[in-house]
Amino acid sequence: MRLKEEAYRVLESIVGEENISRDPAVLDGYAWQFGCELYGPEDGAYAEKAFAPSAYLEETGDEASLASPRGSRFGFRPVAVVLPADTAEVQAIVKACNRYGIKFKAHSTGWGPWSGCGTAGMVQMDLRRMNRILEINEEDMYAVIEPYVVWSTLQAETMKRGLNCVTIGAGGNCSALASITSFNGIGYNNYSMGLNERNVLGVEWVLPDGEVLRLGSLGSGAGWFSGDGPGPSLRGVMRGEYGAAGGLGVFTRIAAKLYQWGGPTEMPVENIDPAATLLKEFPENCALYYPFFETAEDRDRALWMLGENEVGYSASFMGRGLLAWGLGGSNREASDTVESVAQTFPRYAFILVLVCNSAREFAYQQKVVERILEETGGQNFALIEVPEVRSMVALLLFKGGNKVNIVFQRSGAFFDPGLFTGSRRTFTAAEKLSIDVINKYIEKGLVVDDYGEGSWGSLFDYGHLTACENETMYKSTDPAACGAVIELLEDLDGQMTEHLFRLGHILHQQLTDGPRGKCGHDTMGPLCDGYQVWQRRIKRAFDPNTAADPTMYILPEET
Amino acid sequence: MSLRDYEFEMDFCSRCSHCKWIPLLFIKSHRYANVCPAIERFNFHAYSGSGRVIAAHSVHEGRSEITDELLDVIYRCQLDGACNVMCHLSNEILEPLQIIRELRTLAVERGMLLPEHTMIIDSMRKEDNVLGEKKADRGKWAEGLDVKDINSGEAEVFYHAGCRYSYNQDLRGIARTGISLLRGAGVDVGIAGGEEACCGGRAFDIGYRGEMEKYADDFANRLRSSGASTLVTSCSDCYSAFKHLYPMIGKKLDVEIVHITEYLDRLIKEGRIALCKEVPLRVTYHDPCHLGRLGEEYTPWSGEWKTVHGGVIVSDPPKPVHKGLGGVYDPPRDVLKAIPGLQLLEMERNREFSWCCGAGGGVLEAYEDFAAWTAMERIEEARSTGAEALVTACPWCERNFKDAVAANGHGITVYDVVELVQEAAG
Amino acid sequence: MSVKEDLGRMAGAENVSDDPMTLEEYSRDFSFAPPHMPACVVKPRDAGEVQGIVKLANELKLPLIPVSSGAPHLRGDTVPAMGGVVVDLSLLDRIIKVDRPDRVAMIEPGVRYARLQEELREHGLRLPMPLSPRSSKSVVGSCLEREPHIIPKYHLDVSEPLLCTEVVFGSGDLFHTGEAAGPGSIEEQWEVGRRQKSPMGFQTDIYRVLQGSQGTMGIVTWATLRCEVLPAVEKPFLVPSQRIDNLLDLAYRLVRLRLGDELFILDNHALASLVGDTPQEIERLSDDLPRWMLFFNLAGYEIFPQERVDYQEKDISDIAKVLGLAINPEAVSGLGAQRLLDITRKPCEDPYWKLRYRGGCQELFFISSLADIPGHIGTFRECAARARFTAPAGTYVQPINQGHGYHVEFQLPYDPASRGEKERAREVYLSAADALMNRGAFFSRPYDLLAEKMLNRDGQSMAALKKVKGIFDPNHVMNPGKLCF
Repeated sequence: MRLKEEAYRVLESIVGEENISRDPAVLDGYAWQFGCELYGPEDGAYAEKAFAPSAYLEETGDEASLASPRGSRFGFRPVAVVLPADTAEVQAIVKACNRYGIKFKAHSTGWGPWSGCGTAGMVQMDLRRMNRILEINEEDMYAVIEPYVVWSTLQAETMKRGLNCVTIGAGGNCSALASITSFNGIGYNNYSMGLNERNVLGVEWVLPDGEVLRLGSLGSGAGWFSGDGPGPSLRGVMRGEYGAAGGLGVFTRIAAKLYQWGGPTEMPVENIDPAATLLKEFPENCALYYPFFETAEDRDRALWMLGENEVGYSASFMGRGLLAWGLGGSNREASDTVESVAQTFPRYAFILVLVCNSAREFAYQQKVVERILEETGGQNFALIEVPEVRSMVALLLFKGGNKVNIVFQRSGAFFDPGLFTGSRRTFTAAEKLSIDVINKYIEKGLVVDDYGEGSWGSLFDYGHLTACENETMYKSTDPAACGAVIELLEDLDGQMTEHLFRLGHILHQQLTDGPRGKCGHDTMGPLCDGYQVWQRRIKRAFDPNTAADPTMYILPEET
Repeated sequence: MSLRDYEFEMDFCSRCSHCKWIPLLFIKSHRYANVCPAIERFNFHAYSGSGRVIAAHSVHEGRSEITDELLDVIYRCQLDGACNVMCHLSNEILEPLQIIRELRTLAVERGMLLPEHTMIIDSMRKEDNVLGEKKADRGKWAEGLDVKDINSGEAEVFYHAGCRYSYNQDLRGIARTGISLLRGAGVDVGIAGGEEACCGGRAFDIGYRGEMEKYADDFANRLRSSGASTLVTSCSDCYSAFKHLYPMIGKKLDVEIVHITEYLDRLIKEGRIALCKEVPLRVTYHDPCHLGRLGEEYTPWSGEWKTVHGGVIVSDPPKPVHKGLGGVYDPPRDVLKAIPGLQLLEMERNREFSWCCGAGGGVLEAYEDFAAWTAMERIEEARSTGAEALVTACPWCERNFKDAVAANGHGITVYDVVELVQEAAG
Repeated sequence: MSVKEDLGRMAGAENVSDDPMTLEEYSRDFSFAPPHMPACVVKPRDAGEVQGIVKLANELKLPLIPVSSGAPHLRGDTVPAMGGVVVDLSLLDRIIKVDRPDRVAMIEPGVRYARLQEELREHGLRLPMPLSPRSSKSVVGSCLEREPHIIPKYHLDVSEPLLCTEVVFGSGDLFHTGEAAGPGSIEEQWEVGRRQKSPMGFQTDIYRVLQGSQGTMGIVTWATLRCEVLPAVEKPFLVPSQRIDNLLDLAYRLVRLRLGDELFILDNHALASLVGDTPQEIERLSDDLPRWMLFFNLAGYEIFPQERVDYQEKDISDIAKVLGLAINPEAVSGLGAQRLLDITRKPCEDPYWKLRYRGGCQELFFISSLADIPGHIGTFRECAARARFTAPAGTYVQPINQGHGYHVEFQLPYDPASRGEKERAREVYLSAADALMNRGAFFSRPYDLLAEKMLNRDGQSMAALKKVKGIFDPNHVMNPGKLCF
């Protein structure tokens, strides 16, 4: 697939020669994404059929335009990549795409199958050049950021001012703006700061037709402090639990909410090797706990008691399978850990840090935690006393950590088939279901043996909501393993739905339904009040030319 | 080796982009969080460690060709090894730096050459140096030093000056000072003088693998005949070639390899060099990539990857993973700390995740503006510490920084560690 | 068959009225929205009836004006702009479920605060509530209006405490927002332990579009609300000051540090209206009370509640000292902290506190950044002086969204019987709104006359809202004439 010269030159005139490319190897840098190994060349065809062909695309018969076969990470190759510098350039690109009937897909840090183009023949917008922290407002507690600002740098800047932001489990290397506007990422500090779905104020948004919409106070020229109104909140169109994944235009600037940070302005560490990184000094008025319990019920009771008493800063639970594979530096060391001691790890545990703003608050919170552990039979997991483990877990909870890539290191890939959101009563039941189903695939030897206990998750807003994902690692280069993961996704998501649990990751449905020529929402929608009808109407109303890649959002026509 | 030898490894990039930043927990600011000059300057993913691996993969699979545009991508890279370190912190399989090197070698094999690099190779072939200078002038740097000629006698320490120190008028003094300090401390040191040749590291970096092999053999012979037990060099580039690249091609040198800053550190700690004179200066130290992360000893591995536990990939025998941890970081700092009156300030990006000076990997020769841009980024970072001087330990860094400062008029002075030792020694 | 008969068939003849006296009540309120008579009023009894009414309206292109609260209305949103049928939801008044472990309640729109809070208390729960809402205020209505409540730390988002809803869109389709959409019916969801806690849809948050829409998108027939644990121990405090800046500073710090529960600032006039029973008492209190008062309440929950209150009191005292303020747990100028806490715990006794002084009141509220609040207050006063508005206008400042913004409200009391007073109030209302908008006040919930002013400043939002309206209410039957629809 090739973009005709006229259209290419127009894009080039917008961003300048230096910031556009159609070199195949450069384009492949955007086609390559983890997760693409799960599908093959035929899997975008269903979506492509739904699009009107553009007169500005030439079919070249080039196989490299299509996703490579299962087991390889080359997804659909864009026809061009552009690097806009600002909102005006984004707007011009979007308008050009509308004019030429070309689809576009924007990404920020761009990690995962939802970041690349959903079919051949699209223009990829890489927002890397939009990388400024424009303002940190301490009084109204927000930071105005562009798409390429990542959690870790935002956090470094905000902590200097005694503020903090949510850092998602995927890591500080991810775009904060993308997480807040377009994707879903759960994090350890959702416990006290909530899910990023609610962590946005003003938004600047280039709609799929090229118009610039500014949400809330920004639209009225009043500043960034509010994202809702006048009247109905268009945040309702912008995203749900999961964002539109690029299917509704491009977000160019947002005000991200910040929260009080009672810890130090910097947390010096030593040794870059994640397995050996040590926190030089454990911060004042902070504490780390790793209690374990006899039963899941005791663990849950303790967690929710903490929440209801509003104690703690970050809280998360972690399956022993994930913990075991997470320890150790090399894969060999991790294997040794799994073989020798993992079975002795406690089955029901959680990790918690307190970050307090005063010595009095600290004393109070410690007292409450101790009482709760006493009442629920929580015992200290001795492993946490190992300095490296202690630092690793503490830094994970304080800052999002340094070792989140572990799920890629061991086998090359992971997916999160057991992702679900829920509340108190569904949490343990859904987690158990995911363990049972995943174990079937472990027994077949197709995915990494973590006892099915690769789960981790967070409580949101002191336990009002929860999310859990059961990470499943698999050998990304093995087509059979990739096939098994798709089967597992389908199997587990199907069972979750059958048990009436709420799936947290609608894009799974896209991955499993796509190869069958179906849009995932057309499977899930009928089970959920026909929501897909409304979502589709939103897509059509805001993107009349289907210019924004719809494959991870919703196809304009029913499938 | 070729890309074919990395077919397995190339599949293990998840595109996480950790290769673009310093280790996340070490980030102190948004401004100085980036670690790779190429992606920072040129932005397309292909300019990152990950993107280069993907491009290599693409070319290897025949999905794409090495075009002129891709050639720019391939060579607009200092090969500073930062991406490699960042990747290896959480990926033991992928070898970004090796794969990037293999892609350069492939480009050379396919005749996709940059004229500026061809000139380097011509110069090496004709004159045994990378700077286009005459071989006959190689020994001039040491004129009047009255130092042992290793070609005609033995010495305990073999001192290698390298191309830059040998030929660059501005920098020569640093090599001379180094020799004087060693001799003043009673070290039995000798040089090859006019017979010294290039280490070959630059040729290896720009894809001419065979060239370095030739120099490595030649060097090993000279070293052997010198009877020296220790090899000392003031050039970090050469240091890295001896310590990292030679073992990579199976030509590990059988002597102790020491950078001049390490040796001086030893001498100072042993009391053989006394630093008595105050040097009232606020300085910051720039870790040369080739002394730091690329100064780590390379341990070759050959083995196989096995799959255990349903998908976990383990190396057999255990594969050493190069994370830059074994580089030379403390000795130059210890030397600076030993100088009375001198205040050492740290930049945010240091040690294993130091920002490159911009000169390496053939960039200075082929993409001068990119080299200058990279240097200015570092100079700005140095100035942000409040330092009056930027101190380093590599002639390539020094040359590039000095030129950038001269061109841009930034009020910071560039020193070599050796110069400050000399000043403090009186 | 007439519309009345059609409606009677659906909702029962006894629940449909075209009695002029009744219609007159719905035709006007205390706002400056021009009065219009509806054709009739219908009081459906369940969602099915609501759906039938909306479908009928679509067939007949009949405007529907949903009303969930009882009179007195103050904002013009329920005044029919183009006639039509008022859909009074007061008969939908079930508290469907209260769940202590999941801290949630499911209620219909006719439920008022007093009854709900009483029921919640029995379960050990409470619902964060706006400042002394009128007794007739619908809880669901308040949530749909995005009225801020007075516990900033629980105001996690401006949408709080609203979670899931059942809604009949203007198109006549019944839909459940958030996780209530499925899988499974609501009863089946209950069966597996789900409690409709997550308001989020997969890739849309339709509840956010319903909020602030003033009934222009559809009719909500039940909603789930996020509740919190009932405190075991409480200790309220008053912090008087002659200046607002240091109180704002204290409020900012407390909200940021999540110290305390209820927290708000009132000027002497607003506070006098809130606590005084008669115009005379309000006047006396206005004179006696300090110019500004910050109220906060400390609470302890189930474990070591007293210790929680104690440490927070000490921490806050330290902070206040730095700001030159004293926190007072007893009484200030005769007003006890406990009395104010009691007032904030319940809906307002009639007459509504904003109406007590002159019988009528025009609210003027918006969202502000922290730094701009004093300037906004100054601007408002200048406008009031210019219009020779002599009645004491109250000021209420409420930190919202966990300290990410502030609700600022001016209350313009006037005698509805006095044309002059009403005119002056109107003049201040409009001129101050203009002046405030020009200096960065954001009227996120613009009612009646302000809607056009506000939306005209943001053409793209207006265009986007019209697209949304076209999706959910394609025939424009829902409350036409409001906002930009």
